[in-house]
Amino acid sequence: MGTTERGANSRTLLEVDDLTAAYDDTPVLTGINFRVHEGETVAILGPNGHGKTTALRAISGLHAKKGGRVSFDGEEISKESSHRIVARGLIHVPQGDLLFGDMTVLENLLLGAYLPKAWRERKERLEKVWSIFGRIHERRNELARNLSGGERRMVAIARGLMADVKLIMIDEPSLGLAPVAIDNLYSALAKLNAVGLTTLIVEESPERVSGIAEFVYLLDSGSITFAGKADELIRDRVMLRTYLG
Amino acid sequence: MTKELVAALFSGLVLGSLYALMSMGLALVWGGLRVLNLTQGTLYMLGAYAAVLAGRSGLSPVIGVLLAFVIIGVLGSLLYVGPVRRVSARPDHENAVLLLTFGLATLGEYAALVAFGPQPQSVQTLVHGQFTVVGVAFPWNSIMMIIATIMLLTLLGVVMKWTRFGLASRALAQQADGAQLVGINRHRTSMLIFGISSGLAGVGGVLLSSYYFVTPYIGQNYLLLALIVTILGGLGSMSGTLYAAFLVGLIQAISSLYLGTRWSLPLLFAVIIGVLIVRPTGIAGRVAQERL
Ligand SMILES: Nc1ncnc2c1ncn2[C@@H]1O[C@H](COP(=O)(O)OP(=O)(O)O)[C@@H](O)[C@H]1O
Ligand SMILES: [Mg+2]
Repeated sequence: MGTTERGANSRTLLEVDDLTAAYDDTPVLTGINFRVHEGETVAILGPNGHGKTTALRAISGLHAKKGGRVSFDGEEISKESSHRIVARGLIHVPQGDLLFGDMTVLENLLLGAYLPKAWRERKERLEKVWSIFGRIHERRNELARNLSGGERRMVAIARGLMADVKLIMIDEPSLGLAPVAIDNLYSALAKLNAVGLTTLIVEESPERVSGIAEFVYLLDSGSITFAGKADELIRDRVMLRTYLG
Repeated sequence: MTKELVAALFSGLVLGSLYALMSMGLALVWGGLRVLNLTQGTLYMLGAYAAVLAGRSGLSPVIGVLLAFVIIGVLGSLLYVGPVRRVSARPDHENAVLLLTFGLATLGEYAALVAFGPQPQSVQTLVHGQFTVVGVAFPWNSIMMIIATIMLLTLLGVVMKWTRFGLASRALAQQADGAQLVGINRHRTSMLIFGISSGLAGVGGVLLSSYYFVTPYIGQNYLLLALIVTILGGLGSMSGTLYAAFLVGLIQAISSLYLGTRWSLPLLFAVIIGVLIVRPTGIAGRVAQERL
């Protein structure tokens, strides 16, 4: 376990305690604990099929929680439905993007600003989002289902940024993308990080997020088995690999 | 001969607008919730009785139409809030809603039978008079019906295309999880969709009542036609539904003219089977997008 001090002065935005979740009777999360402080970029890492997506879906209210407690910005949200959680500013960019395929890029983004406060400021927010993802501005009148994988991912993240976001959770931003597209996406994420957006990224491997995440958790078979810096995790893994030969 | 054809084409347009109003309700609900609401026909019938009652109490027809929209719309919303929402968490909720709304439709039909009796009732036409061109009479009432339909459906199109509510219902239809992740309240939006589509059925019923006799059974009759139109148009597609409604109306009117009324339904089914063999997803339907 890493023992790094962090977030000593900033408040905790997302706090997850003993969260458990299952599909019917098959347990997937057996009690996970982690927190994200204001202004941080945190990553949850772990091999495929170990419950990362389930964890995010449970937090954002799409998947039923079996037990445990989730708090956001000092208030318990464990029992709230998705639309209330979104209204609090906890935004989830889901795995597979879940775009509205038969709507244009522009309509997808406007929907990101669906809630009243964001809706009133939708014009300014659009400008901001276009300035981060210039590529999708060129394609704004194209139907979402006609976009390339990299463009879809950008739209998914941009849709999240259209909301009144306090913390954005992004599920595997690199999934299925070519290396160049991944690099582009991560440089955009680094820009957001630099302006202080609190971010929780889910990825498979630590190498991807080592340049951007201040703190990482390893989710292994439904529980957190490591918490620390990304390079510590990389070092541990190298050690592990040497041990196992 | 051509005179009769012109008259038949015209009555095809009138029928088409009746079907369009009712099928649009089915299409909206299918589009937003991926379920079929079989109470649509009963709501249509109740709208027609609302017109009968309004006529008896001497209310102006315009007020009657508005009242029908609001009352039947509220009834439809309650239908969602009560029974439909209750079964919507079941994994097999499509079938559950089908059976549930079928049962409620039948109940509604009995209720109307008890309340109003089986004898056909008629309503004064909303607008009187007619004008004649090349020897064919065009009643103002029918013209008004076509215009009212076009106006209502245009309004609906604008709402669905441009408003926040329209965006939300399309989003819900295309990607329900994605919709919830942008903050759309699934149940509230669904309730509104049910309300609006029911209100449209109510208005359809009012318009219908000035054209045909009203009995407790007219709902099921029109439900069948609306289902035909909705499937022919491509489930959930608004433009497809519109084309299909007028196509069905015209086929009925023209086949009645040349073959007699008893052939119009068999012919209709033949056309549908033909269309669905060539285009299994209907006129404007696409194969549903794979869920990501
Ligand atoms: N819809 C589902 N129904 C049943 N089991 C599921 C479903 N989705 C995921 N699982 C199972 O839950 C476990 C965790 O999956 P997931 O949360 O997607 O992992 P990750 O995101 O880490 O790859 C896997 O064993 C997977 O097979
Ligand atoms: Mg995953």
